[in-house]
Amino acid sequence: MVVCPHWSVVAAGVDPAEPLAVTAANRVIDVTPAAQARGVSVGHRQREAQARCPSLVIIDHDPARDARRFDPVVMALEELTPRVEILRPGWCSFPARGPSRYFGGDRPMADLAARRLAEVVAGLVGGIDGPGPFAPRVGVADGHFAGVLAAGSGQPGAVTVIEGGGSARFLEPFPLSALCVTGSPLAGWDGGSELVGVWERLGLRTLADVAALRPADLLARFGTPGVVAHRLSSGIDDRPPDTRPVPPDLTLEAELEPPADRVDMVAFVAKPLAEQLVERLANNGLVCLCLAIEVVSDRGEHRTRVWRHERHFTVAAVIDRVRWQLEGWFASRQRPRGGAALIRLVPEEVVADSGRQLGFWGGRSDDDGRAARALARVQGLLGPDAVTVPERGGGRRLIDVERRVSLSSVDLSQERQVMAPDGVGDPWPGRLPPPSPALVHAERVPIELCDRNGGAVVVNGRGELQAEPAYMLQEGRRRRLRAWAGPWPVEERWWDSRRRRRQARLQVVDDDDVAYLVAVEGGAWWIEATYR
Amino acid sequence: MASATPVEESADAPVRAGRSLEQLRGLVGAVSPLVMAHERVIPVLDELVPLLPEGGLRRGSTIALRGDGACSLAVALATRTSQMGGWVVGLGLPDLGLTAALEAGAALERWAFVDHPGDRAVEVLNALTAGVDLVITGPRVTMGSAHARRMTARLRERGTSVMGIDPGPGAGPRPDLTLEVTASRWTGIEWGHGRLRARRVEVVSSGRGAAARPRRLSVWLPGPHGKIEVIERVGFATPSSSGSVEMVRDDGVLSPIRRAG
Repeated sequence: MVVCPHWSVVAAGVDPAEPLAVTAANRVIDVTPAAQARGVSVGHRQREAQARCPSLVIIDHDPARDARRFDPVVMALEELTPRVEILRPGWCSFPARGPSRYFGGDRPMADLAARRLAEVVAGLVGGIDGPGPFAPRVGVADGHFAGVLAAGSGQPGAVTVIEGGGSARFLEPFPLSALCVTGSPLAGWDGGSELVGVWERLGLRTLADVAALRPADLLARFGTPGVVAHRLSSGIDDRPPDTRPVPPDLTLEAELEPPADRVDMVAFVAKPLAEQLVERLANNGLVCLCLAIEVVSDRGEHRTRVWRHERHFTVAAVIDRVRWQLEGWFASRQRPRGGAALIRLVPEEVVADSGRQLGFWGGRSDDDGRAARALARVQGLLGPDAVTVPERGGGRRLIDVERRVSLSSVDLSQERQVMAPDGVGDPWPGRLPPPSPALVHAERVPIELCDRNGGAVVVNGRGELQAEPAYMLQEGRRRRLRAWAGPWPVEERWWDSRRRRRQARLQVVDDDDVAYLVAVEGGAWWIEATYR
Repeated sequence: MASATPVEESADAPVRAGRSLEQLRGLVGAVSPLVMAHERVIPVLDELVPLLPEGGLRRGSTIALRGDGACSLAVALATRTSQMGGWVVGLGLPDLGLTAALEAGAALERWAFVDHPGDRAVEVLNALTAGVDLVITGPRVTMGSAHARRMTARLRERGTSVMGIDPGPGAGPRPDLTLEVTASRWTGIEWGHGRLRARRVEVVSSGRGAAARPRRLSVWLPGPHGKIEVIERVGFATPSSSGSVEMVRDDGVLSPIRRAG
């Protein structure tokens, strides 16, 4: 098992000494050691991270970039071993037996691998004295899971070799949370972390405690995840024992005519292929754990990569892998001279599907899947940013709180809490009490607010109205006011001379009984929201 | 007394026959293997049920919302859909207030927005019908009448309902149901003091088929906490000659209601 720590950061090409975080869907997913030292860690919200470290540089996560930069690493490994399985950019593994025999044992082989990879990563980071904290770690063990933990537990650049048969003993002291680390089959399981939480409350502390339980009891009480966890903790190879021979008719291929030299064109062709694959497997009650993707160019160049999934491949996961592979290939030094002409999907490991059954009546997840596909089609029509979903932002004005983010930046398959219903009542300074306006204008609608004599209404420095508003003018239309209330001052960043802003807001109701929230800043009034 | 029994029975017979017919119909409904899209209904908040002839939004139907408060009404109607796990998409509604939707009870995890469909609204709506339960279209969305008939058929088939806020003439299929806010009045705000607290609106629904008889409902939209609250549940409304609105209560007594606002 080879783990390149902080891969997303490395792929972004930064100096390890600089505090930097990579974020996806407003959550920090990776940080540099410098940022870590200042208290920023994975899982923080962007704002929280910035609060802890104001000089933090934020970079958006780009899976394509990660994949592109990971390609040289895989290529360096391919010089040592013919078969590299990629779990995701930054994580890959290879069967050690053959290369070990060739290079004279596990440790020399692992040392060699670590050295080679360190050179590659150093080249990417641009560090003069090696890759520093980003040095890849190598772990050799009997099983995949033990390998992940072995590679994950050492110092940067460390090589950990667990002797044959020693996995169980090696795993014993690890805490339960190790069951859910990246690369573990339980990490991708819904409720995997929940399971760990339950066990912790039940008094299980280490993997040894789990291994001591009877697997039959775990199966009865916790189902498949329970058994998987037991198997992992006992150091038994976590490859499920019922790996079946792959039916030959599951290999699928498609020709691209004319050959495509852009990633999205290939991905477009790969999509129906992936759907077909997943459907055929599902018809046989199978899911795919390990998939080889072969791409051949019209000049005869070809590239095969073996991708392993923590749990099993979904259509989206297959397409992601196709994209990543091509991003890497098209950007590499050995980039094909021609375009991609053929794509082939070869499932290498399939197992019986033990996953969740959809509800009998087409459960919730089914609806969500259909909606996600429909929205994806709209994205295809109008562009990736045309579809937005609500998200709660920070700020004092409604326009800041009610944010909409592009659908491509969120993962609809994950449980998402947009705005907690009980959070509605959370008072924040400058907040207007409910009911909130039904229309919050994205762009200011300029108006003039006049008093009875036609003079402009002014709010003075102490937040008081100088005259009573009597009517408002919008594009020459005059609306008489029936009622008004306020002003409510909003003062933001009073400590910052450049970005400070002072506003005041009024609620007004016109003669037709339409209510508006109007605001003023620097003598100019506009409609901020309409209560329609 | 023995002679009284047959008489009673005979008087009872039509009632019982009616009852058993009703039971039979219920049974037919229960065992019927096929549910046509138009027979299914998207549930709405209990407060709004009296407005809708089917007690909910019929799947595949088109609803037009008009008047001041149409936006709030659209959000209120869509609230239950998202609470029950259905998806709602706002098409051409870049300004819709999310906090207000949240206060109305909407589950925003299952809301999405397509703000600027431009001239491709038909295609977008087509794509959405494959997986979305309810689409709310903004006043500026136009589709052209050429597509209307096909769109109607597709909506029926897929079971997606469309609510149009102040739809223009070219906004697509002719609505099956029109809900109009006929009167609205804000309370809580005075001249220079107070604040907006609640709005009392009167909604009249009218349409084709089962909805031909107009229905009228008086609600707080929103109430003091952002939620919808019923003020008066009113039966069928009949316009009277004097111009004010009269209503028939369930006991058949005519009584005028005061227009709010």
